[in-house]
Amino acid sequence: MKCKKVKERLSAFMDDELDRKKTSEIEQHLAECSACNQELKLLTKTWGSLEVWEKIEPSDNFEAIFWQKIRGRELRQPLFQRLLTKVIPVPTAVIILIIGLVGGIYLCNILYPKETKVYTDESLSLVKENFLYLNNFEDFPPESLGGLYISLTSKGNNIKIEE
Amino acid sequence: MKNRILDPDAGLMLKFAQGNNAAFDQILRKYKRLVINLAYRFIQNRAEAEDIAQEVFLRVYYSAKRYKPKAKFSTWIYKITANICINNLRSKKHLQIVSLNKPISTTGNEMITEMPDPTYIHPSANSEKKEINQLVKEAISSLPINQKMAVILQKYEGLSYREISEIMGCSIQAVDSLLQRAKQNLKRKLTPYFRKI
Ligand SMILES: [Zn+2]
Repeated sequence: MKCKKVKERLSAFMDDELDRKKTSEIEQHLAECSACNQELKLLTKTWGSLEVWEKIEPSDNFEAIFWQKIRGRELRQPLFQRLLTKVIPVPTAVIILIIGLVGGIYLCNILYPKETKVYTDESLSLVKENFLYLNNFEDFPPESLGGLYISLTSKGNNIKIEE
Repeated sequence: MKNRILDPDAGLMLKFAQGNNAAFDQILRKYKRLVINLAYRFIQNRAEAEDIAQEVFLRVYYSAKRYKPKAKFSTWIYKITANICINNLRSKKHLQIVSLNKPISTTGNEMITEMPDPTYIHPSANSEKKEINQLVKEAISSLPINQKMAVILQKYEGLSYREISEIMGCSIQAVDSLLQRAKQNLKRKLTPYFRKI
């Protein structure tokens, strides 16, 4: 194996990320090549020097701050949304909504049945009365364009208003 | 996929998704050190690292209902942390670049922080450890973003190339290449100080 190839693999060799075959090839080369040995030495020292940087500890109130943030966010949600997401799980809420909708329509039909128009004598006389006012207008003369239109459109629709 | 052994922390997450808040508290206690330290080594500021960690756990908390244990729980939380850290640093760098009107590097190999003069010798021997610590921090800080993340995950978190590739969303070869370049960069930066280290 050539030095260039070995140097490319030294990093993975140090991290124990090479398969057994490649590892033994590198080891063989290192046993004979002082330049690659020197390179490995420097890289190992560099990598090892990073260990001086110690870990830090989280602040004592880390969890408390977290739960405070959660509470703060939940309070900012609208009440309806809070109820939906917290107290009632979403699938249940959807089922309740559907039952409510269907039940509402059913109840509405029972309490307020659809009005079917029944024309009593009384209501008909009221209609007639309203039509009587039309008599205050003069008829179109039959030879006028308006008169022609009226006679054509009222042919199959003879409304006769009795006095 | 279905036969994959469920790790206990993924189990905690599923319990929490079913409404068990105590399970989340366990996750919080178990992972806060890991998350804060990853963020701290990346951002190099304790207060900001704590803020990032809070953001990570908020994200975990609110994504519990959509959580599906595809990978190890630790890989998932590392990934969230890494993403937030990288975005945080990128937005900061962007601000820096804009404010200083510097040209934007396209190579990704740039060294960002200037290292102190290697010929300068501190008079106090007591501050030596602190000084070495500072040198290492500066050398890591000077690495391009992806090299830095790979170094932290490998060196300080002890993760394999495969895990790092899952967290960073790249190939194992790419991780290898990032670490090769990072080690060369660090070697160049730190070798002048080796008589001290
Ligand atoms: Zn060689």
